[in-house]
Amino acid sequence: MNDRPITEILAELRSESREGFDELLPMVYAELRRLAGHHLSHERAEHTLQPTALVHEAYIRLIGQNSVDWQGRAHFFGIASRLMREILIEYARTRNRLKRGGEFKTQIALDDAVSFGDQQPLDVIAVNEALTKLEQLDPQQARVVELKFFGGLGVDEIAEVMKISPATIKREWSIAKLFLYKTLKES
Amino acid sequence: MDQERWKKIKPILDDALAAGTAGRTAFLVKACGGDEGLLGEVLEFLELEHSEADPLDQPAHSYLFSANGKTSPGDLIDKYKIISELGTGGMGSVYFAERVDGAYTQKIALKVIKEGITSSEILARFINERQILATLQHDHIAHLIDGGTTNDGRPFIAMEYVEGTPVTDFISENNLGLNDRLELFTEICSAVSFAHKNLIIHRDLKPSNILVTKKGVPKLLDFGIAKLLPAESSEIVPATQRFIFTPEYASPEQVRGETLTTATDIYSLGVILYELLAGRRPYPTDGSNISQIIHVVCESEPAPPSRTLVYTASDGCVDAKPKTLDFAPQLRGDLDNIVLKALRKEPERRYSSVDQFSEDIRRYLDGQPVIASADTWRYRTAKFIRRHRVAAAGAILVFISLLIGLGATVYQARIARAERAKAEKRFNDVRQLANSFVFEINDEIDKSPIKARALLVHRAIEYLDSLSAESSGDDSLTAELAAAYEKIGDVQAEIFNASLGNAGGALESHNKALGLRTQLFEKSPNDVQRGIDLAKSYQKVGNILTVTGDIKSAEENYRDAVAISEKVASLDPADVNVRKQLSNSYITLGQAILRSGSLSESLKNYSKGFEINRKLVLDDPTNSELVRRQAVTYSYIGYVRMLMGNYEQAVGDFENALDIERSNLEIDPANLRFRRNASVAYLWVGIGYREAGRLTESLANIKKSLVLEQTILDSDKQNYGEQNSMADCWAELAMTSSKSSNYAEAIHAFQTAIGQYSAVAANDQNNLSALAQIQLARRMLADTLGKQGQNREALKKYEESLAVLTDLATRDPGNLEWKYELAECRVGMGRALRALNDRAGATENYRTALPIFESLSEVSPENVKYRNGLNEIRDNLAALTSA
Repeated sequence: MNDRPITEILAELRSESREGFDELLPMVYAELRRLAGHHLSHERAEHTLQPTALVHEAYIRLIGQNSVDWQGRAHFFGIASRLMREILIEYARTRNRLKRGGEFKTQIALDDAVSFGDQQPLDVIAVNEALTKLEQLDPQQARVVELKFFGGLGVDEIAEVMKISPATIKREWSIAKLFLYKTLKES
Repeated sequence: MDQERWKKIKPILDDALAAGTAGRTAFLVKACGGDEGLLGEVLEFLELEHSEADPLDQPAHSYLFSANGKTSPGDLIDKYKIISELGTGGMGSVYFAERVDGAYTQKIALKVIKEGITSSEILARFINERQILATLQHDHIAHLIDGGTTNDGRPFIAMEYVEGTPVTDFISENNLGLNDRLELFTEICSAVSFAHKNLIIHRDLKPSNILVTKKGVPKLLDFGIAKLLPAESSEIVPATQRFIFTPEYASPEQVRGETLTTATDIYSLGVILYELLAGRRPYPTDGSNISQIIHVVCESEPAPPSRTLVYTASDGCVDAKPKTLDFAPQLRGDLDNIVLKALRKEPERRYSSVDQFSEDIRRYLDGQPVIASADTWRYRTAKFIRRHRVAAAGAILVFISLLIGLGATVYQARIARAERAKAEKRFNDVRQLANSFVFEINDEIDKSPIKARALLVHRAIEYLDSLSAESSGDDSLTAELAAAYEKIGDVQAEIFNASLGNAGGALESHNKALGLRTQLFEKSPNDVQRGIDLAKSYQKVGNILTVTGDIKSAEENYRDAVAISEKVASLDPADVNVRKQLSNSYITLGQAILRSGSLSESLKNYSKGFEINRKLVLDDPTNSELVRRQAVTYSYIGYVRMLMGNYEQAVGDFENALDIERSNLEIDPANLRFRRNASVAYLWVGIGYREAGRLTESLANIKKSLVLEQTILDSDKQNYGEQNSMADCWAELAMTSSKSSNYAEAIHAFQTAIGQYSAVAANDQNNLSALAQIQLARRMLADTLGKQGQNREALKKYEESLAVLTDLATRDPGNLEWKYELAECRVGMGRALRALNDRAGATENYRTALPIFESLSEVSPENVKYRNGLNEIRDNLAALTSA
């Protein structure tokens, strides 16, 4: 990793330079890993490990608040969401190994009564696999899923990152969900 | 599934989801067109649609990190039995519980940290709250009873259980009168003041944290994000903590994440008092978008509470009882001032303590003078403007006094180095004001007499220049100055809008703005907004140069605008503003090229601009600015095509433009701008038809244009821009009449046009295009006279025209249009002399015109007028020499 200021890299990113992206990736990844660190090594984690909170915190630590405009932020969040997906899946796998000592899938009951009521459980690793299939069929739609489900971004934020209208994002998301459920059902 | 299949299924799913469940089956049967397999598969997908509790709507992390333990009614925590849950936050839950160890029964609120919390930050925060509560024993603060840890090691706090309702509900449920509300509020103040004296800021004051018991005793709750004031203010607040706040009640410094002092609680109390008195909060804060919240909280000035006592069901007021309306007269004055003083954007301008705030309310209740006064200068000037909204002279007076203030402040800043901070502070205030006034006044000016404006502009420039001398190094001031110069320049220059007709002064102002914009962009070459501003500045300079006749320099400026726009577009190709600017830059360059040369190059630039704009309209079809630009560009393209001889296509373009302008006018027929736009569009359709040889349609459209323009001019007779447009209408009417052999009408119309152009030109010596228009009209008048056989009269007109045009052409050798006019005069003279049998004179004039037309055709071979002229000269010369 080099010492170039991250703001400079972000500015370059906006001119679509591939270099900036490659340079930014490890920096963001390291920071996210560091922030998420002890959650990954502990079996139990707290409710407040929200991807958005983490991403925002990483952002503030790396860049500060005011020095980059929203376009730069959008790139940042886009990258961070991809990394969050990796981190979360890695966590889910580690946790499975620790808990069940093997290849069991994560069937973790949602018992946080207050936030989610009687929500059905969802196998995050299976969702990830279904998403990988969707990526081959429809990369744009898959990106929406990644930003929303793994990155925890809101529709407007996704619209900024992908430069697509929020209405389109919503529609893509609705269709993507059907695809994912169907794939989950079949697997 | 393969990609092909998905491509087939996806749009059907999309439509089906959009259509909703009603009638879906029928829709699907139709959409699948008898393909049973497809239908079956689509149905399989749609069966999986979740109407509610959609698991995928919860983010992945919520499935991976959730607490396993849950506390239920009946559970014991230490010596307390859980009765019910009162609420839950991010880090824990609050339960209604009762002490069961037999010592005594006591209802309490039990706050327990959530199981699984390991974050040291959150644990520290919890411990922090416990410590804070332990130090706060006050009648109006829910006090700490006990604290400890649960069996599984989670910390908990036992607090006084407050049976009450949020203060806003309380006052409306009990119909409290004004004085009772104020009394209740001062009790709340006493609690906050007590906390402050213990060096604690609450940071989250809001009605739901202030409960009032049945007996009317307020109790302050939830010190969850409260903070011990640091001994040193240099303490760094953790990033995550900085952004915990309730947007509706947060202070500007809080939403900006700055260091907080007791003043932030004073601000929140101000919001609460506002709500208690006015029944609604000072401004709407939509919790969804952080930048919007920051903007509203930091920028918008709240209206005095006495003015907001008009309720609608939807504006989020908490107290819709009409009784509150009675307060309005009592609020006006002192109470307005008290509330607004607590709500000042700058912490240091609020009350210096909660006690001072509370005492001021006490003084009001006792009928004594309060210390809060209206935000005098800003307040009064704003009021003054409002009062004089119609009388523009008032606005000018204010502007002048403002500029005097501005100059004085600069002076003060310069001499009083010792008090530099203070001077700069005032200077900033004045600067903001100056800024808003420059913009406000520009609108105001639309209604004001021309002379008053000249004075205003003169004063403004004087002061902007003096301010400019002081501004070096301060980017935001530089930007504001540039914007102010541009505004002034616009006022000076808008020859086609209401204007002073002062092109020279305008050029100077716009060049000053351009210089400042260049500085700014060079300083931050990746700043998109600065790039856009710079491109605009180039265009404005180009516009003025065009009016003053320096076509070549104008074109250079337009090319610079395109270059900067392209540069900015490479930084951010998707940005709407960037695309708008890029489109605009191409179109204006197209115009400039049209004046000096290649028709197809001009058309190419127009088309580039048109295409960018067309896509913008597709993205945003109701955007009137974009739609309007589409109309204008249609007519530009139509004009070039007409010059190239593609008349039918040109008429189509003009009609397209007219369609857009007419539909605008239908929506708002009284709007002067719409009328003007429609008038111009009719005129172009009329011109197009004439060139296409369809004279009846031409005349009808030009007359429609003329009638519309007359209604505009009737409402503003002094307006030179409109006079210019009116003259255009007459000139075109004359040309069509002449072509229809209706010579009497043509001559009358030409003379009217010449009279009007002359009035415009007489007003502004630098307005060369009006001067050129006179010559054009006069030349065509001569043509018409010639057709009627009045060749001597015609010759006189040609000669007058020729003299002026010769002068003009030397002043701006690059202007093809004027060269063409000059040559046309020669051709006309040749024609008249030949009719008078002066063969030598005729030959001489044709010979003078020949090289001009030859060079014109060389520069712009696609131009039909040039080709036709050249042919006419050659034919005549051939006839004259052969005979």
